[in-house]
Amino acid sequence: MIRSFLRPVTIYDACQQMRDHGENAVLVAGATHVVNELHRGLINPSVLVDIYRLNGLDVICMEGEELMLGSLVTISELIASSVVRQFVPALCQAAQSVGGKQRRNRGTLGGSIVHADPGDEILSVLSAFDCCVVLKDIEGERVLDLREFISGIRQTTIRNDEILTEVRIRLPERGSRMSFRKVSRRNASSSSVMNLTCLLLLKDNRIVCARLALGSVLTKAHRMSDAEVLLAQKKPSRTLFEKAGSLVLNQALQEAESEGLGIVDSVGSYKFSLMPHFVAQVLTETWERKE
Amino acid sequence: MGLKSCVRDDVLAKVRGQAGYADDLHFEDLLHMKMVRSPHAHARVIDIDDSQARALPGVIGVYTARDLPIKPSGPDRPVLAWDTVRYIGDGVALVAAETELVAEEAARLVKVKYQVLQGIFDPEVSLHEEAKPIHGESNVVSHWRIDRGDVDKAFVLSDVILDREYSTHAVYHGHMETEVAVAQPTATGLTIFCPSKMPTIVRNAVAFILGLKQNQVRMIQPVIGGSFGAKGPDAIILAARVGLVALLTGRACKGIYSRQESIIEGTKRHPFRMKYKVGATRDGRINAMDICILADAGAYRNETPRVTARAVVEAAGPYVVPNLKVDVKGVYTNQVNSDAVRGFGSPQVDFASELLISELAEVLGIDSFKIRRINGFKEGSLSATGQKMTAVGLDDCLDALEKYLDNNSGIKEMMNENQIGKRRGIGIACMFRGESKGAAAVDTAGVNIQVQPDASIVVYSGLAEVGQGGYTILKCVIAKVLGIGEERIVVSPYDSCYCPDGGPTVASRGTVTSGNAARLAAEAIREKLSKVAVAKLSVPLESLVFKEGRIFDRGNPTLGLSFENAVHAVYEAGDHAYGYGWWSAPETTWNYETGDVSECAPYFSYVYGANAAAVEVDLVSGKVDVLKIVAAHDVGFALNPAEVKNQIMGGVGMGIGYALTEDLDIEEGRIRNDNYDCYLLPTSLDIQEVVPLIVERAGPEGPLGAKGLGEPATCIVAPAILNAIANAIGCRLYDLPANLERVRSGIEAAKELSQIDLSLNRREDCPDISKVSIEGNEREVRI
Ligand SMILES: Cc1cc2nc3c(=O)[nH]c(=O)nc-3n(C[C@H](O)[C@H](O)[C@H](O)COP(=O)(O)OP(=O)(O)OC[C@H]3O[C@@H](n4cnc5c(N)ncnc54)[C@H](O)[C@@H]3O)c2cc1C
Ligand SMILES: Cc1cc2nc3c(=O)[nH]c(=O)nc-3n(C[C@H](O)[C@H](O)[C@H](O)COP(=O)(O)OP(=O)(O)OC[C@H]3O[C@@H](n4cnc5c(N)ncnc54)[C@H](O)[C@@H]3O)c2cc1C
Repeated sequence: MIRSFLRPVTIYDACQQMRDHGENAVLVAGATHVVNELHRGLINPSVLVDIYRLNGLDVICMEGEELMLGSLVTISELIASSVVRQFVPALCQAAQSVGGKQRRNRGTLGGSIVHADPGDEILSVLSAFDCCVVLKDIEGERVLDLREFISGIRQTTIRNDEILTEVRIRLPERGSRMSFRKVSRRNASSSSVMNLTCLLLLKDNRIVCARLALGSVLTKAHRMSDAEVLLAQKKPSRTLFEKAGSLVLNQALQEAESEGLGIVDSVGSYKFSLMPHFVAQVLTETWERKE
Repeated sequence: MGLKSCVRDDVLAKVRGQAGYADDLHFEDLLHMKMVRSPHAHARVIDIDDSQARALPGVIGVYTARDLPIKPSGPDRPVLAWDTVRYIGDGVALVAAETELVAEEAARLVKVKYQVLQGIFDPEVSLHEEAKPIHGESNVVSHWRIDRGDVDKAFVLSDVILDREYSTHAVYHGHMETEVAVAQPTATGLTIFCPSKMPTIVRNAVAFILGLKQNQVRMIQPVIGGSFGAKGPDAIILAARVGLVALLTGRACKGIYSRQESIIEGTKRHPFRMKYKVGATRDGRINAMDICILADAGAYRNETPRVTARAVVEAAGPYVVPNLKVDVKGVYTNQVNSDAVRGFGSPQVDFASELLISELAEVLGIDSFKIRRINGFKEGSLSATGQKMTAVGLDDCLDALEKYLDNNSGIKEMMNENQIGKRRGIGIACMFRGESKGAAAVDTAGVNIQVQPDASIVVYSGLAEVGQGGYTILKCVIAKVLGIGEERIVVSPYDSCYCPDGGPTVASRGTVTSGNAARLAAEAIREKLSKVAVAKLSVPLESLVFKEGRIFDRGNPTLGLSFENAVHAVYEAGDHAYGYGWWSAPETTWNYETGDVSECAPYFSYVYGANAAAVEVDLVSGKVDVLKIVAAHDVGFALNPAEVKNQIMGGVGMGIGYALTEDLDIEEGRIRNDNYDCYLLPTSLDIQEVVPLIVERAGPEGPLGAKGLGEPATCIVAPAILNAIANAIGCRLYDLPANLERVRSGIEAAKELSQIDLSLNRREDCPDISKVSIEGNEREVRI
């Protein structure tokens, strides 16, 4: 049963309180996920430490070639931000597709990252970039690559007394085209059955570099490096994109096997059957996009 | 057309936050009830240890079936299970405590020892000889048959025969307010506050279960937060549970289910498995049909006998089938209970018959409107049960729909705007449906109208306002009969102390049954006022007109008196201006003895409808977007046209969910998607354009010729959508819902059938959508 609800005013206090209460405490940001877990009896903390009103963690700004996003930036704020729209339009697209309006208004970027759901749309986009997260505790901070940070299905390497304060996204070369697409069962408030973030940098109608991050299939959003290698330095064409689709499928199957995921259930076979076409479709869409 | 639209009686309070729902009521010294439910689909209860639960501070009591005055038995769902649990969610014990949290905690502490028994999760398995009966001697709940003509011979004489299997799934009502009830002990018995679609029936059932007389239970109906067929048996059981606590403790007790509890315990739509065989001549005339249906009743009887009764009558669709066999069985399984959900057995059979007739049209190369007109009921046609059909509105609905599609819908243009990687298609479906309860059920309703001395009016009725606009219909009817404005009328909330029985608000019967009772009651008042007017004005009775708040002489409209003055005169003469109306439906017939209903008149009247759906299918993901639904419904006479349109809009939304996204994920009796995050009701973005078309062919019984609409509005949306999907991708699906996986495999199959090129094809290489080949036949798709 929850006995205290704490609302620290500084990051330091928050970390201190988390340390004091140890495993009995749960950190809350937008609470969209935490409330769900409480309701279902999946967690049973005696203390909630609410960081939603901490100052300074809702910043969105460019620093050199990096986009800095505070962990308390809400999904709605990502959508509304002109900076995000200009530099990482795929993140806007992904944010727009998340949950319902209430969830977008309340839910935070930090919550999404720490929740680490394999289908999380925001994480799918972040995974397509070189991206790191900043974690603070009372002793200081550490900076981790997002890939190291997420360790499995809804698992991260964060410690209970650490707070994720910001995310830094290294922007791709100017002129990259990007898009995010998700397959879902209905048009709003629906999680991803599968999603894909795609980045293409083209010069003289040739792909200089390509990035593909596939979400909601493996234990976490995954870069599809075989297809990326194939695409690099090629002229875009339908055949090429279809080939890339097949490579994504092969890689996803291999990864699924090495991650020990069962792929035989109907949803699994559905995902794998549509994957090559889906990838080719999103690549085409990205290619047709204006720079 | 119809009467002038008026604002629904219940909506202002709802949108202003003034509506008093059961959860908003406050009680002194209130106890809270929580359930201990079976985690097993089938098990024997060996022992219930409540010692830990009772020891928890704040717990008042833990009760089991042993505390009920009458031992529950038989095939009806018990308030608490006696010694056997038959589905996951069956109530085993209940806890009453000072707070909801403590009650919840205590419910977890009740330790129940079970001996797990083999469960049955498939209606076909349930019929095997080795299958142990879940109740009594047999797993068959109900069995109805029709056998007319000579089906075997007729198949031999047919040019084309289609043999198909269809399946439909369980869905949840999706009412906003979950089940809730509060019981308060009184000097003479109990007062129950419970939102239900059938308040008088709940009162009577609670009295029976708790060993009280009906007049010892007072039922008060708070505002109902939606029903769609729910809040029937679930409301009875919940009300009896809190009633039991109130009687045993002498304190008020409240029970309210969370969404998960509502989904796990509550009733669902019957899943059907259907085999249809149809034989027809080359020119599209149906010779014969042979239909065999299994309905999954779940663990207890509930309304299965009546759901399957409706299904047998409507299984062959609104078509004349000279040689017909129908066999419908409802069978027990250890799944969640099936019961009434808007449509009540119609949507399942409409799905099958409408997919079948469209496929027949394709195979024969006949236009899909034409084949329906060739076979559809006309005035005087004989139905599946040999009933002579009258006031048939089928062609009117088909005409209205076709005219709309041909003239002003923009649908043809819409069909040609194919996006890359997508295909559009259009499909239609039509229906007939028995009005009201049917099958020889007692079908009555009462309404009491009290005109006050100041000529304002209070109406007392047992109709449940579930958001369908029922109260407004009563007002419209009364206003029309008395020639006054609706603003003069107030409909009282339901209280069994002074409201007459209206029967259940089910079967789209409210408009006809309570509407007629209101008409009769208003006519009684009219008679009294007429007497006064005849005396005062010295004009003959026949020339009196009630209009615009006056009673006057038809020949000389200035000669008259106001409604108020007429009312005053009645009271001054020492009389009252009250009117009572009791309406009883015309006789219907059914064969309960043998179950053979080949010669029956099961409903006193039928309604008709025709819907069209335009869809867009994503050829990569299989995602279906419903671009537009055009829904023509015969409502006899539109008492409140705005509300007819709203009913259609809502019904279409529910139909889209049934067709595409709503799907209870049940494995061995366990519902895995037990909340709205995974149980996917359509959102506003999934329901795009809906065009309601009102058709009026006066019914024989309804007030002013009105017919019911609540359920028809949802019945044929799914088959129209699936026909549209078939049109779009060139491959038919036979199972509901048309989810991503199924549509995607349809696309894959179609790729082989007709070489539809997947995705990525630029606009210019899309084949013309109006020519989709099916089974090798190039054909024009009629739109
Ligand atoms: C209706 C609904 C719809 C949803 N739809 C989607 C969807 O479409 N896609 C999707 O991916 N998810 C969805 N979710 C899941 C969830 O909302 C998000 O993944 C995410 O958790 C939202 O952030 P939050 O701020 O609300 O997190 P919270 O619930 O506050 O926290 C989530 C987790 O992260 C931790 N945490 C939060 N912030 C920090 C921080 N700064 N530092 C360290 N730990 C932190 C918390 O302790 C907790 O474990 C949905 C949830 C709901 C209720
Ligand atoms: C056995 C059974 C049980 C059911 N249980 C329920 C249930 O508990 N709750 C539930 O919601 N549904 C239930 N349904 C479905 C139900 O019939 C409808 O959904 C509707 O809610 C019931 O209201 P009604 O009887 O007033 O419907 P109808 O008489 O069909 O009227 C519905 C509304 O449509 C409008 N309307 C209809 N006809 C006209 C007309 N001619 N002119 C103007 N307006 C019109 C009015 O606003 C009217 O109130 C059940 C069906 C069956 C067969």
